[in-house]
Amino acid sequence: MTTDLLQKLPDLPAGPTAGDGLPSVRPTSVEQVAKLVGWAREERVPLWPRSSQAPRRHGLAGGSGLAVDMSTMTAVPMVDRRNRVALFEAGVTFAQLADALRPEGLRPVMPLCPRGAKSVLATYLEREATTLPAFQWDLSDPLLCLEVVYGTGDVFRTGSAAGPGTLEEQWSSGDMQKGPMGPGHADWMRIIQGGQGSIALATWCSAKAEVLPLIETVHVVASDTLTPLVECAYRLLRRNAVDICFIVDANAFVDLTTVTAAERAEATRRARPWSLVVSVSGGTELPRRRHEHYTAVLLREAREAGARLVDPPAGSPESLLELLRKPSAEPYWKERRSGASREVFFQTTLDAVGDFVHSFREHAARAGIGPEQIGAYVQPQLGGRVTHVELLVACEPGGEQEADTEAFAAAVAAPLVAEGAFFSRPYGEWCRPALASAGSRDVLERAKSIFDPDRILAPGRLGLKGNPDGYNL
Amino acid sequence: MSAILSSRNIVELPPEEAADLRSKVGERLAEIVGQRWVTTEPAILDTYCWQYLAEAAVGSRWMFRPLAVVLPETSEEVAAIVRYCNAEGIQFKAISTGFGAWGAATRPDSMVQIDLKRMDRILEIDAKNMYAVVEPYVTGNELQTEAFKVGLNTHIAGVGGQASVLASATSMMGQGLDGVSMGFSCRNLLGAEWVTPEGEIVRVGSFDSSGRWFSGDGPGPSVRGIFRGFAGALGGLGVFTKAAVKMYPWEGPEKLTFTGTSPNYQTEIPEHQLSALCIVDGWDGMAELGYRLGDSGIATVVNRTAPSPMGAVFTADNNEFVDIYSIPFVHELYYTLAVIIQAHDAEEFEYKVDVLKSILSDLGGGMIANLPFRQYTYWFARFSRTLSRRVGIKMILRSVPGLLKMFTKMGRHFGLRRLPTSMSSLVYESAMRSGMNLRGIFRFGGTFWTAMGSLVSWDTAIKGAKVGAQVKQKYIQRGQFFDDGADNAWGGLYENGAYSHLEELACYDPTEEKSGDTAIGYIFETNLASAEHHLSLPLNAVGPQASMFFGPLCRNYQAWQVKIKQAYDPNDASEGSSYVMPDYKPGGVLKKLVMTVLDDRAEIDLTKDL
Ligand SMILES: Cc1cc2nc3c(=O)[nH]c(=O)nc-3n(C[C@H](O)[C@H](O)[C@H](O)COP(=O)(O)OP(=O)(O)OC[C@H]3O[C@@H](n4cnc5c(N)ncnc54)[C@H](O)[C@@H]3O)c2cc1C
Ligand SMILES: Cc1cc2nc3c(=O)[nH]c(=O)nc-3n(C[C@H](O)[C@H](O)[C@H](O)COP(=O)(O)OP(=O)(O)OC[C@H]3O[C@@H](n4cnc5c(N)ncnc54)[C@H](O)[C@@H]3O)c2cc1C
Repeated sequence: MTTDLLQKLPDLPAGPTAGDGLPSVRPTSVEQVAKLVGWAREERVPLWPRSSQAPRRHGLAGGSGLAVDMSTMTAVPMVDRRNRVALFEAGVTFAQLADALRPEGLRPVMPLCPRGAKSVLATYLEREATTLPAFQWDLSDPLLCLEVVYGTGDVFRTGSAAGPGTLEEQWSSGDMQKGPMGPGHADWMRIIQGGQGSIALATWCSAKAEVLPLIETVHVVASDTLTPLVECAYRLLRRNAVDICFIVDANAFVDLTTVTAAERAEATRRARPWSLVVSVSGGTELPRRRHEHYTAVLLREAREAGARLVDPPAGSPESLLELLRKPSAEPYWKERRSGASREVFFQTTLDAVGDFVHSFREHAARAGIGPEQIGAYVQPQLGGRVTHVELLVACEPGGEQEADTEAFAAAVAAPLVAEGAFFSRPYGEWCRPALASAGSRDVLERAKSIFDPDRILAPGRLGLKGNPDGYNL
Repeated sequence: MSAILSSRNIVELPPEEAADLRSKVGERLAEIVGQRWVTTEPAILDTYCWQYLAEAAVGSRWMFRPLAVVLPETSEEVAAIVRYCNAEGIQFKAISTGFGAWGAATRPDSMVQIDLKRMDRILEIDAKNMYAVVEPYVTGNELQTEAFKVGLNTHIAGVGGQASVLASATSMMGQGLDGVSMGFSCRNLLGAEWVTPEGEIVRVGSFDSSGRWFSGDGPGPSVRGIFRGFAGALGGLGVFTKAAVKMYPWEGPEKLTFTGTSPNYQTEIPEHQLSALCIVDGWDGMAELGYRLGDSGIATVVNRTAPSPMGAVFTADNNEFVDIYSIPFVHELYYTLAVIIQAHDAEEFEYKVDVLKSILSDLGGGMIANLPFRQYTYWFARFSRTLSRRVGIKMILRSVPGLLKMFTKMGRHFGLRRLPTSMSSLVYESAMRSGMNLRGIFRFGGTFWTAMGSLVSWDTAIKGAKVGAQVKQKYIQRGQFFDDGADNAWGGLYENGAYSHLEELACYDPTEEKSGDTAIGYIFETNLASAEHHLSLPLNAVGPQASMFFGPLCRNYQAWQVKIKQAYDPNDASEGSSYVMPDYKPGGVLKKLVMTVLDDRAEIDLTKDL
């Protein structure tokens, strides 16, 4: 970006230059964001929103422009136990949110040990998979309402936060921005979510929080094959018997639970090929009874599925629960095996996961990637109806292996889509196969034109058209 | 001319031109679907015009005649019809089960009515992954009947089990009695096949690339958000030909057992299920009960029905209703929630019932439920005591003769053995099959409309119920609405209490002159009160009129709606009178009505319960 343009930039604090070399600014209010978008529209400067703090995992995809760094917006203006909800700004991390929720007896809905620097709002905007499938009613959960600036520069609030009234006036009526729908005939939040910053910039959100149970225990159900665990997960989820619920293979479990080489060696020896990790909680009423009852259900279902309850490969069940309630310790668990990794993730149903894992390993083998490099993390969503499958390929950072892994991860989407994998959050190369159908692409192009007519917000993301006139850079 | 109609720019074609157009459209449509499946016969067209709330929409019991009615069998036929309408410069609107003025024509000879009743298949029920794929004419009860066989259940909107699952999930509303465990219709949508307003067939969600329907969002932004907000597009943004919906676990038998004869059926409450009418002290008690039930996750149904519709649902005709409703014990059942619990086995059932008992004990409440006899009696006594705390023991005693008479009658209908649980059985039938709501609500005046009903926190919903009742009181006092005790708030919790709704039902006689405009006055006044008290957008925040009022109060969302309509329906082919009309301007009669309401507002005092 030329110094000329930068000089015309609205007066905003500068942020650090990102790994991708983009200059960045750090707005601290929605007014500043709106002003920035107005300026960017006029000057045709692409804006790349980010809310997580450094270090970033993949850098910002795509070209030139200005990064809009909202990671310093970290206020949590509202936490409400009665309605199980919080309202917080874009830069709030999971640790910060958990700290704000805990005194009220609440916990955040989290992905599996996210990066410490990861923004909660960005995570929810991305529809990242979370570990509490029983509490997820819609794939948009736990995200509820948003305050955003569209690519037109207009400030908007979605869902019940839109009004009538200010937030404070709504609070005084007992309404805590819990309505995700509307206002009116469209679900604006849903259009913005999954857009990877290409529809609007969000400054805050309200999101469901869940009760922090007084009693909760973690259990590991292990098996040599995936099928019994899938069966067991289906039954437990159907009965709403478990809170946390996911499946990992030995590699992913070791990566998740250990840091030092010695720990890893010991855990690798102990880990079974597949583990279903669940927690049973006491809920809010008659907690001891509830906990006892569903623990017994768990034992019975595990036995009937032909699986066994075991200890975690490292640490104790108690330490595992602690670990699952927090962001990842450093280094980030997905990078512990070889220092870097690439993820390939998509959605399917639980009963199809086995076939996809098998097929992925075959694709990987053909690319010279051995089973020791691959970890599998299987996250049921939406009460068990949908499953997020995440295959992690470990690699050495910075060299040829990382480049090859990157190329493999980009290319493997096409055959997986052909086999029925649903890439609901496609990045980069994945967009082509994921959005192969002209109909859905046209629907998205029209949406983009409504909310970002000059195509200045993260242009090119999702394979959507950039600005045909090019950018005035 | 009615207030709503005054806002429409109606140009009537000369009769001959209209007849020509009709026959031309009929011929062309016949080429698409076959002669048998098109009609332009006035007598048949009129059957599509007699619609619920027509008196409010157009000031008559009859909506306008469409140019033709066409019954396609496939999505491709639907797409061809839509493309033809675009090319011809006429409008179209689809209906699934077709219950209400919003599905019909609001101008004469202007649109083709697409009736989807030939698309009536349940395409798939995936028992393991708990979803179903349906065509438009599959009703709630049909899907439920098939789902029970594989251990699943479906959310049914309060309109009843006879209405379309797809229409509710893709196009309109979604409140229902089972929301606490089975959510709100649009949140259950896992994907759809959408014939866009221009006639493209778009498959939304995982089906498009994977051939399976488990996920409705993505790739990228969710297209669900474009066509379906809180309300849906009510036919104004294309046609939905398939929908995948989330299903929920059913722990009961493959088939429910009924006894009795119409209209006095009794449903056998299955093993490990409880059907309870729970009572607490006032709205404060209701608030606590709702929050604790929501948090606990034990309930399959949590529903508030006020005494008057409860009395109507439980009786077969208005004479029976008067007998029951005049018993003070029944008349005063304001602070009750119907709670249904289902469990996998005896042990889980015991836990869940103990939770309910523990909550009710803490709140000083009681219940009438299908419990073993001694427990039944104990909780019934607590029920009476809770009620008597509010209304006085004398009133309870005065109820005894009426109650005895009622029990004798119920004994005759249902048999003595079933007497203690007959009430629970009626609650059960009404809530689980959603099959009895309408017999209650249409009986008093001939029709009803409803107001307030935002999707908000339970506390706010309760506040809305109080506001709604106080506004309605004025209309009752003037004799314009049936005297249902004013507090006729209906609704409950969704998603284990994540949000809730209470709508204020108002019953009136649609044959009375100007009844439609009176109802619109009530809707406008409750909308206004809803905004003033910051109660979020009420369920009537639908269509061009409401968007014009609420848009400026809510970040001008109406302007964005117009952009969506124009982007996806550039020819304005999808009839949007209940959705978005880009050039909408309120007419003179509507403006006058608004001024009349503004001049004479009901007084609202939130410190008092009615
Ligand atoms: C080939 C390829 C592979 C990728 N693989 C992955 C992957 O495996 N996992 C993964 O998570 N991502 C992946 N990405 C996506 C992308 O690299 C990251 O989302 C991006 O790096 C952001 O890093 P972050 O987590 O620090 O950003 P975050 O700040 O957490 O942002 C995440 C996303 O949300 C958007 N966003 C952030 N804040 C806002 C806001 N306030 N308003 C609106 N939008 C906002 C960002 O633009 C970004 O798209 C991939 C991208 C490419 C090109
Ligand atoms: C007495 C009564 C009580 C009601 N109570 C409730 C309630 O408690 N909860 C609730 O949610 N709703 C309620 N409604 C409103 C409404 O009828 C419902 O939302 C219902 O689910 C829709 O079914 P229907 O038979 O009315 O559908 P239809 O009349 O077929 O359709 C309703 C609307 O959606 C459009 N539509 C239908 N199918 C399609 C399609 N395939 N493609 C495109 N557009 C389509 C129609 O044009 C119409 O505008 C009630 C209505 C009545 C008459």
